[in-house]
Amino acid sequence: MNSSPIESWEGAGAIFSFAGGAGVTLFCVLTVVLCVVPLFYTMKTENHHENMNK
Amino acid sequence: MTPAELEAALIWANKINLEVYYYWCTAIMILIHAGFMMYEMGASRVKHTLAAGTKNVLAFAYMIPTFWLFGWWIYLAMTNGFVPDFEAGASALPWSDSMGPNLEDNATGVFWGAFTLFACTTASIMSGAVIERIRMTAFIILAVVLGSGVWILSASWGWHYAGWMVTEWGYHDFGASGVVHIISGFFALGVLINLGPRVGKFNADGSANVIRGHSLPMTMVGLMLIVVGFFGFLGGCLFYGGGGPAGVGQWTNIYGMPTTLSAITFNTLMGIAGGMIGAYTKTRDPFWMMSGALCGVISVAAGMDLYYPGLAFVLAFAGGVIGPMAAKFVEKMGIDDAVGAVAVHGVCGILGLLFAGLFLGGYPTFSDDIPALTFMGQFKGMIVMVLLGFIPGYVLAWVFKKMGILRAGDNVQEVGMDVEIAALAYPEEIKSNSN
Repeated sequence: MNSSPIESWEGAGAIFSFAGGAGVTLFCVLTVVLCVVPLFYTMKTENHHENMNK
Repeated sequence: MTPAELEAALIWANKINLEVYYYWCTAIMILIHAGFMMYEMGASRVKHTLAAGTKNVLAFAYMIPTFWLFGWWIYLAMTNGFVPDFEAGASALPWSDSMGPNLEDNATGVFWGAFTLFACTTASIMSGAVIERIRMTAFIILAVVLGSGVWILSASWGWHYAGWMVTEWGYHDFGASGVVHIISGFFALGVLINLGPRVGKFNADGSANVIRGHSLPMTMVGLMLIVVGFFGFLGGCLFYGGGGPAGVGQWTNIYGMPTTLSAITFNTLMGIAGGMIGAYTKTRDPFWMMSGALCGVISVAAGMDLYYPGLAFVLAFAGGVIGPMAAKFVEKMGIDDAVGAVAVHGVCGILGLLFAGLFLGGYPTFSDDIPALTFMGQFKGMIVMVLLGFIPGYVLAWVFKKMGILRAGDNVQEVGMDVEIAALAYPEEIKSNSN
């Protein structure tokens, strides 16, 4: 997968993968999703133990 | 070497030095988080140890991506109050060229990293107060709101040379007595009121029982790590000479007023010592002796770029005496703050702002347009910080309480919060939970 935003180091600025492209939006969204979804799993564990210890 | 080459070399040296400086400040600040983790694990009973530590580490983990997603943007965009300046914040959006590896920007990453660690500190402060009964999910969300939202909004207002509290009131808070400590201490208070006490903390007549943590030595080592981490924290409150608004040359504080690392060294150490001795004198308790170090530093943090070291020692001593008294008062109010966070951070943060207002009148600011530091400016700033910390903490915790997701059930508390953790804190000879 070619993710490079540059073709030469000469005068290069932003050098991170997908800079200026749609990949940036995709990974921003995935970052949000991967922060939120684990919270639901954590809550599920909490609820399980709450029910087990009623 | 030609003059032009020499000039280019100096510019690069400045740029790289700035980067190196904040990079290591950030690394040292991680010790604060490590220290808080040990502090609250030691302050927990055996059956809650890993839950306390895990929640602290998860606050750290969640703060980093959320501060990248929106925290840094809040800092740059919200200097005017609640109305964002989208142009000022544009470079902090997570898809901006500055928010990732960029050969033309040596500064954003290290500044973002340092501020992220300040955010982690605010979450850690709340974390200790709520041990042994808060649910993990609720805690993580509260921590993100505090660290990647509330604290950085307060920093944008009062810890940014263009922040409205600075430009209108001459608010001076060098070492974050208000923007970090009052905010997190009073946010924690808002949460604690809704969370309620640990099972067994208070008797029917309202009197309080002492709930001892399982390892005071661990707590003491943790607090000592926090003390080490303060050097990264307070060092990160300076602008490196080449990068501050005052231009190339001397260090400046975050408001552009010249200062030195030596100034901070004098008063950090005198603050630590004064607080320790003051708290030990008042309590004879090693827990409070170590917490007194925090009381001392926080009580002098707002003005530590300017205090005479003897004055800093005296003020820190007062903070070390008042901190444990404030903790007793909080307990008398029926609030179970397991580590005294409201007193140490909230109350001593108030002292820090007011002491600066009382003892630092007359200093010029970096621009004639900015009012000088005054007691009233500090007092008004303190009121803003108390409200900005307390209200979101109280409201969000109240909502979680109504939803039934804030507090672990009494039975889970009895068994031990570690029942939710897929590991045991100690070998089989020591009971890690009651199951």
